[in-house]
Amino acid sequence: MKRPGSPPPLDRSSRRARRRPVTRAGLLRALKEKVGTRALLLVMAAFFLMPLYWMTITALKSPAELSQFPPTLWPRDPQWRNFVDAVTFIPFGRYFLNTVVIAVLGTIGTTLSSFLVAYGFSRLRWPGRDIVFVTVLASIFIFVRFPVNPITMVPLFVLFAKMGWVNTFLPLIVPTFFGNPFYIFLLRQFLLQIPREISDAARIDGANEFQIMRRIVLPLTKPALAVVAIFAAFMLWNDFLGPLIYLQDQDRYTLSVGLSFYQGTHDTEWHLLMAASTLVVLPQLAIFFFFQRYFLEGITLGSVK
Amino acid sequence: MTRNDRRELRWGLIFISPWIVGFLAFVVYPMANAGYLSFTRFSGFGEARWIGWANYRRLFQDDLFWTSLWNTVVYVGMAVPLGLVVALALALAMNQRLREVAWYRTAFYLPSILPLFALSLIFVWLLNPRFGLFNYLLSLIGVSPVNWLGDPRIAKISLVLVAQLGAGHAAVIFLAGLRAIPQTLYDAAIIDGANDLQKLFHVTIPLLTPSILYNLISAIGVNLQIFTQAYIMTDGGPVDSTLFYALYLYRNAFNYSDLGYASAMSWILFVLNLALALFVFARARRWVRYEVVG
Amino acid sequence: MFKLRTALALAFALIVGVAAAQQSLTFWTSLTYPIDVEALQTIVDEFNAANPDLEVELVQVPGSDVNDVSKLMTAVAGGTGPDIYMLDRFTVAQRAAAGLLTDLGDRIDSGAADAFLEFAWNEVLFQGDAYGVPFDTDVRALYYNRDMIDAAGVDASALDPANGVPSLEDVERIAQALNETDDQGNYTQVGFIPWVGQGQPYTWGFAFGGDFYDEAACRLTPDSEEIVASMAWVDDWAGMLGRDEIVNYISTFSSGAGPIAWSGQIPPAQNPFITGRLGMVAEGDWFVANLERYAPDMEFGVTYLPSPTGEVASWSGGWAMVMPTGTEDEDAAYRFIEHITGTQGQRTYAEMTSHFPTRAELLEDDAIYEGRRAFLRTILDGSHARPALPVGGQYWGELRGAQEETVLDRMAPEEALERVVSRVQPRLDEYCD
Repeated sequence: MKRPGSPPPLDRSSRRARRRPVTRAGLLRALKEKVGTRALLLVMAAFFLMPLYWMTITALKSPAELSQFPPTLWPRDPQWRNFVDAVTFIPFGRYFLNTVVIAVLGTIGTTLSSFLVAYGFSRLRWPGRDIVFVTVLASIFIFVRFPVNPITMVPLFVLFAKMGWVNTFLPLIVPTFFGNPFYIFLLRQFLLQIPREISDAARIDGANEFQIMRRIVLPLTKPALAVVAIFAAFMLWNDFLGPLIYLQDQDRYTLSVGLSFYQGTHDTEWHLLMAASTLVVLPQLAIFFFFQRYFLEGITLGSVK
Repeated sequence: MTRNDRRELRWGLIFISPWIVGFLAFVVYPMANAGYLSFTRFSGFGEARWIGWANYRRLFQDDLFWTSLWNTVVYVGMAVPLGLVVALALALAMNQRLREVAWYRTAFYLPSILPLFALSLIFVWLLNPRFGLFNYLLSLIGVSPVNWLGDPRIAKISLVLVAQLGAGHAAVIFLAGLRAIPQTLYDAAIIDGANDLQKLFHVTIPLLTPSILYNLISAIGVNLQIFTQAYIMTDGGPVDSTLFYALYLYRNAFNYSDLGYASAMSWILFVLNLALALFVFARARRWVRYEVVG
Repeated sequence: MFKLRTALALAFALIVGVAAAQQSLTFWTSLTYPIDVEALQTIVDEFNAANPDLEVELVQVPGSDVNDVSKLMTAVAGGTGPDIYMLDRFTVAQRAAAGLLTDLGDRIDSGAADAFLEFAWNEVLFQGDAYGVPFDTDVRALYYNRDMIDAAGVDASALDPANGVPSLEDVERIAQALNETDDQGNYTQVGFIPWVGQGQPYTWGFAFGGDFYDEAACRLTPDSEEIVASMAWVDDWAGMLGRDEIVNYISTFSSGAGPIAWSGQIPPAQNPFITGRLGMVAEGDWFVANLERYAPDMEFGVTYLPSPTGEVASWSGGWAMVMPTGTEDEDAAYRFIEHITGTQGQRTYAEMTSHFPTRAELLEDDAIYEGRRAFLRTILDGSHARPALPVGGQYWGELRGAQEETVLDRMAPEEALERVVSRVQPRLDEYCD
């Protein structure tokens, strides 16, 4: 008997059985079935992997080989030491730590606040709700490049300066605790798909709203929350302008600001820049690869009824 | 109001209270500030001198304003629909039941987290008139080489294509939505004799409409402010064909120290964005379905 | 024993006291090139040693662009700006007009101004007052690939600086001999393309003897005879090379920024001169270092920019030291500015880096300059600076746009230059008295 309000256990056994046929003939048949799909996916993957491929070969070239035209498609003599040079050119470890702190705290802030606000806009019916929701839509304009689009940049900086928060991480982290319209909107879309009956049943049983949110809705929303968390984390990880204008001590800079050190007015350390950029992106790739199952379990609501 | 209504209102306001504060502090305050500045002449320092509607008047006579607005509208018109289609296709690809699908998904998502200067490097080569992959593929079907970034008529299209590499972000959102569609619905459709295409249009897409609405409004907002690619790859050229609104705004604010003018530009774009978003949102009732029918 | 302890305690208190009384100043630079930064740090250390009551801290604040001072602007607006800033000298007037900089006028006596190169000093003025002090400078010249020229068997004696300024006809003759195409008519090698590298409108405008600004009339003059002639010359070159073919050729190299490419911001593989596909190019003095690094086997030469007037002409950029508004202790900050732009500071910088100083006496010191650098130094005598205008950035952008329109044959040279005036003059008018 399925308990209302919780997702059904994933039917892993049948999936596995389908994936690994026992007989050799079955294995061959399975591979052949998907060959067409696999071929297409491989071609697409090759296309999307081209930037990483280009970055890596550039990272492994020597300055002399960088000036080969047309460019060589594989480094003649891979300079692995470029990676070592890249992390000593700037205080890479220090910047890495700073970036982690901002990304982790900011992700918590974003996910938490966006979920709570989205809950208010979707799981509750109150007069004027959809009109107030328009403010979220309107704010998307500001948050496309928050907090540093040219219009919000200066007034907000002055505000934070008056509070003495310049040269700290606070202006980069604290605002995340007030909700980000992109994620509020996203979570609202998902939360609206959870049938109201689930919450109503608990309300009848006498649960207060916080309990309903925590015990019933939150577990169902985990996949969407995972999406928001990963997006928020990556956005913070790669944010350049925010750290640039708010951090003044060189040892507080983040990785994205650090990357600009490889670029000069008349010359750029292309090989080091590409090596550093690869190192900056690898943690993100790893996190995405290992955590993707969290947002792909899906809200299998069909079985609730 | 019934007791229940009051209860829902109270809880509603409690839950959205962080947003109220955020909205006032990070949206209302700067936009009101910008609204005020749009009626002044202000360099960012010293006094802001009141000049009434002069900035707006000058904008309407500024051919670069119209150029940048047109460039942006054209770009949005191309990038938003194409972006939705590409993201959906990518999501369907990411949803395939294969053992190694995790690798494919990571590959597709990768470019959307790469820094843009790295992406632009590869695109310079993909789009190279002589040695680039795109022109090579075109030559296989007999089309003569295109000067992707150097030809004013094509540069915008090239940037739209570059942007598609970042479709992974929207695709993941679609993917999460795809996973929420119960298999039972597909089974029922198969029983009714539906083929793959019919399943797509009669099961998948209708049930993805909440995500479609999100990606649509999101894309409009993001693409109306397209900036970085033009800043890094073309600097608005050739001959201002990729001078987008946000780039021109940025120049006015920081190069020309004309924050009053830039603020006026900002408000105009804000109104445009809001109008479009509201239009889409208001009409969403007709085509978006929220409750997943079991 | 007792006395020793007291003495130690007193000494300790003295040191702490001095340290406490030490005032700290922040000095921001957007430079990232290690040699340049090291030179700046050396000068800072020299100053700190000589001025124990002050401690200057050098902070690198890489901006995304030389023109982009968003970090400085927000910092100053928020009251957290640096005490001293290294600013692109070309933008001093612009930033001064915006109210970002402190007027240094009273502190610099008129005699001190004469010690600098005239064009460099003029660049730091806004409405007659000095808002910065010149630091270093650069210069542009014509680079040529000797290997390519020898291979083509053409007489390039006109390019020998000993024979003075090359004429336009000389350059054309030599370039034509270097052009090579393949069977489909695509270029595989080009002799000269005037508008790439540092071939901006300012370069050829000055080479043709033109003036970009009439100070007395407060009027921009890109539509003057000489400058129109320089743009028409660029137009002729585009036509001669075949517009579609040459734009295609350049697109093969450039980062996509239209038919014009910047050399610092594109990878070396995309620089046609470095990869041996372009015979001659107008470039800056820093290009010598780029060539030594990326094309160490190339035999190249440097000579004066070609000109119809036969006179040495070029233009120079460079940096200035400025004091942003809101500096707490202007006197202390100025002491540092005085030091770094003084003879000792500029000498250190000129010796450690490849940049040129702006103090005339240092330019006469032969010991500092060797080889090509000594030759490039002589060009400084005939160099100009871009007019110091509050609309400098926009003027620059519009001039480049005009060049693009001309090369792409969308506008006639004169028409394109007149458009520059119609777009920029109205903004300049607001500052005219």
